Amino acid sequence: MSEVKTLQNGSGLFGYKFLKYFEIAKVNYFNSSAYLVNLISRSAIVVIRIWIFTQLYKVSYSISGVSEIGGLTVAMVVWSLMMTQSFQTATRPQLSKLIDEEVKSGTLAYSVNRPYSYILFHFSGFIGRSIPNLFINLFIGSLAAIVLVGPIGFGWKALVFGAVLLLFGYILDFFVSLIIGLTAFWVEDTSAFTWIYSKGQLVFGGLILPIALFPDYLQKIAELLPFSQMYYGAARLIVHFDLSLFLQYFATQLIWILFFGVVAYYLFNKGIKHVSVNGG
Amino acid sequence: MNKTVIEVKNLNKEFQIKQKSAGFIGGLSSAFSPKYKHIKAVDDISFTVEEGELLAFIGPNGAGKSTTIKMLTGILFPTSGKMKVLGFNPSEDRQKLAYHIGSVFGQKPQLWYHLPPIDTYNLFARIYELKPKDYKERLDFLVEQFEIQDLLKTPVRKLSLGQRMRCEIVASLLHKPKIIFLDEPTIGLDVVAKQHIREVIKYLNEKEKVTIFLTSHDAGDIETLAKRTVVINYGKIIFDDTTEKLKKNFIKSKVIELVTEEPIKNFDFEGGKIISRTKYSLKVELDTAKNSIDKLLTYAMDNFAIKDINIFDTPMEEIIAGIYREQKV
Repeated sequence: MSEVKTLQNGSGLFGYKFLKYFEIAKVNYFNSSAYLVNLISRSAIVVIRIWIFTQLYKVSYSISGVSEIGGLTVAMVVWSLMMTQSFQTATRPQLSKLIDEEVKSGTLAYSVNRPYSYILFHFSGFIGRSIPNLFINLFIGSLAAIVLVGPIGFGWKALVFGAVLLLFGYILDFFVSLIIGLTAFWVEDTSAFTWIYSKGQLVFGGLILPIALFPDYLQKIAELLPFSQMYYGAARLIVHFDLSLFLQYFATQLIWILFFGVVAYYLFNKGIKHVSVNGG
Repeated sequence: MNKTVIEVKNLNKEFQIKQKSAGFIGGLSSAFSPKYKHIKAVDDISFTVEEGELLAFIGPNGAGKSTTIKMLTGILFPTSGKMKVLGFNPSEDRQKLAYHIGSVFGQKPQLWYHLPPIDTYNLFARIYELKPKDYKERLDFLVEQFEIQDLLKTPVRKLSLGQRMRCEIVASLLHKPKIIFLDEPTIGLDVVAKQHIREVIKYLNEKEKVTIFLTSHDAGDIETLAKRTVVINYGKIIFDDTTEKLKKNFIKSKVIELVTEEPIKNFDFEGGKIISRTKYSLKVELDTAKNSIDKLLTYAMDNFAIKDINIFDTPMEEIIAGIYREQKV
């Protein structure tokens, strides 16, 4: 039998290195989409929320007696909320919870001692898990939005630039979730941090109220926070394209990604020396 | 002369465990002034392992076995001391070392639960950067040796523990590691599954010349597999010699339980001491230096209407107590 040769770390072809992360994303994709019924039932929550928001915003707009607030019609608001809800729920189960569980159960023993970057391993998994959820959420959510408020038109520019913001939004969400998960190296339970983070996303992430509807001063603050740069930016751009808004959001995203990326890298390198794997 | 592949010198690992008093007040006070208990999980141990060796690293629960393995594989950082595995320092070169070692943690799964094992194997082939041709040859070979052809496409959650463990070991061998760390590979398995895993481990060591570092608290694993045994207790090495010597001096007995159809009246067998009895069962401690299990079973079958027989290995605690007794003498 021939000797199995492995390429040593640092001397491997870029193709080999890249392919391992692609494969990690692929396995996560299949694992996440193993049960179609579960996948669809998870999307049902998006439909229920959209229905509630539709009733709420139809009443609010009619009481105000206006057809547009902050440049958004009721249909745009509902589509925007459907998108932010779909984008965000697609990342479930939360990465911070998975890492917390990994440390508590001791399976960290396997995820750490493999020839790959731990951070890229989790990033590939995060993207792979989110893809099937994202498409099912968007498909079911769009059907619900069409039934509830009718279709809205968006051009190719809105979709392309929105997709760019969404991709970078996922990267930002990944780094913040990773940081929360990595705190499990020091604290016994990270659920309090996860709770605060998800509530921050709820209020400032455009998940229940589009930021365009905020008062001006609050809108300016919210647009500078990382929460709005995860999923709201992409949804806002898709329903109402504006190139200057894209540039503003994209620049804010990059600054936050750089900041949280450096923090996550530092925390991992510090935390790995501090880790105590439970159960021996 | 064989090459040294694992070198450990004065290795220590201390953990800080937060102490919390009971109740709300206790919880509140520990939040403001936390108290920590320092535990020496590994206490100044030194040993070497030669290439091709099958070393049993044994001890009771919490003795420091898994902590040692996790330091040797780069998962945990030692508090102090030196270690080299295949010339690498696991703490500094964890990723480089990972290409050359494999590990199986018996209580922790590495296979994807909802997917069949073949999906995990394909993933590992990429992670370890195996060439497709080499991977295919290696997989075919392992599938045949471990008899897992029928399990390859079954979701892991549908496999029995014994089947899963065989698939777990295959996952750790795909990249042809030079050393494999097996942490309690037979834990929770039934007798037949244990035997199967032991045969596989033996095969790896004898035919593939893989160095095996095996931890277990099952004396049966050690007796059947290892030529050399290291016993660790409270983080300290208390025995490091041949398994033959360990068996001769400290694994002197087996406990045999006989369950009968009719009440046992007279039991008289040389080397067999009754340790407990009920109307229809008898627990006998057999001194294996004086008599063999075969002979005891023949005696039991000839004299009693046997319904069931159970054989138990010497508990780890008893082996350790024996070692301590000898050290005191």
